[in-house]
Amino acid sequence: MLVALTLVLVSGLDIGGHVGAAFPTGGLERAHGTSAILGASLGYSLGRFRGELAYDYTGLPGRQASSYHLSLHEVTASLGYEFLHRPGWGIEVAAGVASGFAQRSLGTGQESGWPNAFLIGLKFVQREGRSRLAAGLDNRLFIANRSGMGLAVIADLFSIQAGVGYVF
Amino acid sequence: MSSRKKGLEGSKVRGLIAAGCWLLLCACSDTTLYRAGRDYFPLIPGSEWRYQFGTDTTYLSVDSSQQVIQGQTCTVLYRNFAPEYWTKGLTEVRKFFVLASGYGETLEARFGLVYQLPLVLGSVWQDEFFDTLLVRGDTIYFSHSLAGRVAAIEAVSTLAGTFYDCYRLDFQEQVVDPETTTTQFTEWLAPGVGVVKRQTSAGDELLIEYKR
Repeated sequence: MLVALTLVLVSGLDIGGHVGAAFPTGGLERAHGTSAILGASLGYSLGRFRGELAYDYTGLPGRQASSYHLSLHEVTASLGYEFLHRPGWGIEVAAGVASGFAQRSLGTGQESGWPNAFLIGLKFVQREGRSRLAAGLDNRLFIANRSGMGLAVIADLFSIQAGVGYVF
Repeated sequence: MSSRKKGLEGSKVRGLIAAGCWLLLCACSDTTLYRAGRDYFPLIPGSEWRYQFGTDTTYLSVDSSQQVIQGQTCTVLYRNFAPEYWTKGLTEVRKFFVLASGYGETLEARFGLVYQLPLVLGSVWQDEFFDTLLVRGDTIYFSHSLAGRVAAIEAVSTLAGTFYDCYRLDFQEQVVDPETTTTQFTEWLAPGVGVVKRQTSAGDELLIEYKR
């Protein structure tokens, strides 16, 4: 009984990693260059729906030769829906929330914070045997409740990602 | 029965999503990335600043045309109608310093570092200039240094309003010609506006109007 229950719970579970390129926008592009994005994800699929918990890291360099650097670590929880669902492939839209740790450094200077973001994504997904391939676009809209200004989008990080996962 | 159960599950999911969003919104007060993406020293042509210094008013404006000084294209900023020349790159902002001796000889005419960009809390920079000059038969040792430090992130209230996410910069300037003159001053730079407050030993200069 326990084995059966475990099998039911585990079926649909996948684990994998992804790589991509992050493009800062929404003001961030003024001082930051494009960088690689690396991450790992844990997903659970149920029909057309898929829940995902992911970790991403990106380190944005300064625009010119400078020791300036912005590190961004993020944990994202998202829910995807395959609006085009075929036996071997599909196209998924996803939305989620992200919370992370950001650190800016320049020489002896350092400042850090815990920014939060909304995430929207569009992915092409291919399933074959125990493998799950996904490639697509992600956009993180960082929001903050600024004193006297209210809630607003304060920065934007757009990324192109490709990943592979093992389906249990 | 089955549709009623699905409806209950659906409302639970919606409730969880709403609770998650509410928690996220409540926790959103971090502006690190906001500061990372903002211009703290905008030199937009046509911009105007008006400051109050005691009973005096200082008026600043950015000229719409640029000039070339020592081979560098620079922005002309008028301070009470007297021109200042500034260059701005992605990593620094420089000002054209012109200092003359009591006899009128030029001791310094060069672009000196004023701000190191991007501004990050705790970062420090220093710009130094040395020269030895022969003035009316006497050898004069001249030096000019300007050291800056990003000291704090604060909110500043002036007659122009309250500005949040301002960087407070502490400066120390020293001129040796050959007598040593040391001055200390503090500036508060607001995102998208520039200097909103300047504090010197003579008093505070506060922004009363900004137009762009």
